[in-house]
Amino acid sequence: MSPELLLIAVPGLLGVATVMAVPLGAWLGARAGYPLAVLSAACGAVLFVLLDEALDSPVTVSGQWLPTLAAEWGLRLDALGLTFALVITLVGAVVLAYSPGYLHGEMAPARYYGALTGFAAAMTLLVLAGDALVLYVGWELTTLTSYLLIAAAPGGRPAAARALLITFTGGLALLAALLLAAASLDALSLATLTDPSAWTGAPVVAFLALLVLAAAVKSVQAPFHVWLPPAMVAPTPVSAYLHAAAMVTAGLYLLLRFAGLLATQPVIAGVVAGMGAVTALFAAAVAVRRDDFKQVLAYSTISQLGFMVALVGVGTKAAIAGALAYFLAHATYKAALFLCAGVFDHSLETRKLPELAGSARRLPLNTAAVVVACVSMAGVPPALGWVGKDEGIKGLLEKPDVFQWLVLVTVVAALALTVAYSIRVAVAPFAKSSDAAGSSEELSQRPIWSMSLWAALLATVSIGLGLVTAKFIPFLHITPLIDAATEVALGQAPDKPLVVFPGFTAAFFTSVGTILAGAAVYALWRARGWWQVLPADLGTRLADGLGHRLVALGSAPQRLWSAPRPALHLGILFVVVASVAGAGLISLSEGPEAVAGESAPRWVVALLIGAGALVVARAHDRLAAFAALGAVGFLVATWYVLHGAPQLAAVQLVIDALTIGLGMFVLRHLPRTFPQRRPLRRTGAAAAALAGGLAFAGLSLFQRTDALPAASEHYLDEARSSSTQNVVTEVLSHYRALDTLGETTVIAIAAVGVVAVIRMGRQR
Amino acid sequence: MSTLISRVAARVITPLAVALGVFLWLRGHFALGGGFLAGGAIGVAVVFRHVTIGADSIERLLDRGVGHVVGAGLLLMIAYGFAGYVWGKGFMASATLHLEAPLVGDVAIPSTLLFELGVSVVVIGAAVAVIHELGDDQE
Repeated sequence: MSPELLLIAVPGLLGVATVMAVPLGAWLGARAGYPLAVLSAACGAVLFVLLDEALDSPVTVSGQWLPTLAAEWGLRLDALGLTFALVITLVGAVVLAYSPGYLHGEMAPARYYGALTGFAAAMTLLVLAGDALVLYVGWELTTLTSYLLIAAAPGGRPAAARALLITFTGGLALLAALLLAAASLDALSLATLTDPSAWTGAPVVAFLALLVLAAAVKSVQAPFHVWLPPAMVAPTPVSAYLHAAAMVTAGLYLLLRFAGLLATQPVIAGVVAGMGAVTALFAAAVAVRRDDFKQVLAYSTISQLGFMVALVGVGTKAAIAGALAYFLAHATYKAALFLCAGVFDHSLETRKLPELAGSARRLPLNTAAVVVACVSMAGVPPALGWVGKDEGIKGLLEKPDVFQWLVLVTVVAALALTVAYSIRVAVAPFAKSSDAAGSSEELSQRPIWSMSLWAALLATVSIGLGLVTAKFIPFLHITPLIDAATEVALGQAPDKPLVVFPGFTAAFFTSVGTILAGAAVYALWRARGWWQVLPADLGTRLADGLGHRLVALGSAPQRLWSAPRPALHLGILFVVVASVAGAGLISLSEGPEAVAGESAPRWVVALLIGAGALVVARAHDRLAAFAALGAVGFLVATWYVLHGAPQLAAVQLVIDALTIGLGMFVLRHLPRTFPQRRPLRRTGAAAAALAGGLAFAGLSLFQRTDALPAASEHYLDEARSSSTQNVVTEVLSHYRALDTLGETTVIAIAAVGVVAVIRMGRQR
Repeated sequence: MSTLISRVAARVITPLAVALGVFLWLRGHFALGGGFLAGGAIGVAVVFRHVTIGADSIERLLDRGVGHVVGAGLLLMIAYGFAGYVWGKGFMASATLHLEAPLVGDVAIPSTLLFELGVSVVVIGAAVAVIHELGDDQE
């Protein structure tokens, strides 16, 4: 098969898996994870087949999509996308294989697997996109599927809504950035957008600022990180996949993709570096204090994403290579730790670190997986976590200036805290348990061993990938991949390949220093418990406070709009329409065309309509007013007939009849007569109504010309030449079909709204 | 309103209104008619039926939620839109099927009938849902 076909096959297979997941989940239940895992692994295998080709030169396919937007549907496989796609498909396969053991009534398997594989397909599309618009589609689809996965968990709705709201803001920023690019470059292919020379004279700073905002939201940089910790209510495999390996790294991918462009704008790059460093330190400080295993992991993820984002901001060759290596390390060890947390959760019914005491004996394999993963998280040689950290620190040391030093110090402090909580997590299962509760029978009810095995596999990979960078193991080298990905991101390959032991350099000593400092912090905590002084949830509290402020700000207009007073809403509507239309009418230099004399029947009907309207306005009795209103409706239908518009007249008749019928039911609930209002209010209402009516009358004067506009003539000609004789339906169902669909949707929404309002009223 | 005459009238009017609706729907492409009008006509009949006979089987269809009928109508319209890729040049493209029928000769069946049907279903669904909710508390 040609490489292009294989490339299409990767998101294609995952798309097929998404479609199949729902019936499979209904048929096989939780066990549907196994065939889906095989599919996902097959996608990974396809990527391996394409590896050599992609490292050589990008594999691309594309075709026309939206020519007016210069958008193509296109896929592009280069080393950077490949690095991410490998993680997505392979970690995805492990997570899918782990899920059957985990799922026990938390979620319907069909929904769980459908959303999970849908997410995998969307994420793969995101990293393999050759066109920015394809990337955007993948980006938003990951947001949606992530919402489905969080919301389906028990009590997950509020967390899911928060995640959706915050990440959609980022999505809007991305969309704005892309529209800006499309408008100023007239191109949307990623190859053009990432090329700094294409941007000369274009608003590159605004583009990058929007892009960084989108990436910061997706990759949980402070202060946008607030959606991640509550999202931990999601099933643990979902957290392992979305909140460690895949979704949250989408922002990192975006920044890496544009790293070359970012490097040309030192100010924005500095903002990125600073934001990443602050996030890394703040989140590490929070992670140290948490007791819940998943919360520790959530804050640790925020912290490590901060580290990687800071490296991209610094943007030297070694920093980018370090970020890429650390991304691979993080995806494997963090997913492994989440999977381990799931095993603890299911077998011990707790995730609190102090309560894991004694589980080392009862869950030996799981504990081993935790320890191995923590070795990589702490960045101890020879794990890949060490290689990435060491290379990253080398990158930070490459550009010595004051700002760079600040970033370095912050990051080093964050890494030391990372070591501290890694030790804390690793030793938690070994603590002596105070009671011997929990029988072994309970444990055997789930396939705990196989679940732990998948976690152990990922943890081992995280160590093994570091080992293979050592010179004496010439097998499955990741170094060429990282080098090529760095070249894609930055335009230049690193000077030296990644190695476990780079020699006694400043970076080496700094990295070792983080491990020693972390161990010291941990020892001090055991001795004194001194980090209790650190604020517990300062960030979350600040963000929540800000959120409450925002809600309060919005509640004033909300009170106005949600007031149960139709007169108020109509009044606002009329005044707005009258002012807009009035301003437009006044600014016109010419008046409407004079229309030749009206016929007598038209005059009669017009006078009757006016009289009817007057009766409606003057009536005290609601029923009388309503009857008069119905009569006006029928008269308007007559008016249409006199103007030669039978289709409009018929629709008006039907709608009038429906309105009268439904209105009668409303009238039954209202007092017979209108309440007496103060004269001032009556005058105000009359003024608003008159202004609205006059505005519409004024507008209609301009519609009444004897000569048809060109567009209408065109419609008529088209209709005459086709089989149709009814121009109105032809326009509605043919030329403006999309508009009709939109308007019909409005009817549907209105019906749902009316039903909801009535039910709400009845419940009160 | 619930007199004997009106109840009998409602029983006669409902099938007539449905027939009128179908008639309006089918001829919308060639003369006065169309999906919206058809839906409106049937909607009026349902309201009249509700007033005279009370909530009946038509409305009970909706007890499970407005979404089902209204949503089905919208989905039909969207499906028609995508079908445009099959028989036409793109989204919402239409086509006409010409059939040779005995006695009448050439009969043109425009694909937009599906689209119009969707509009009718939404309008009927909306009317029935609202009347069902408004009239619910009278029993």
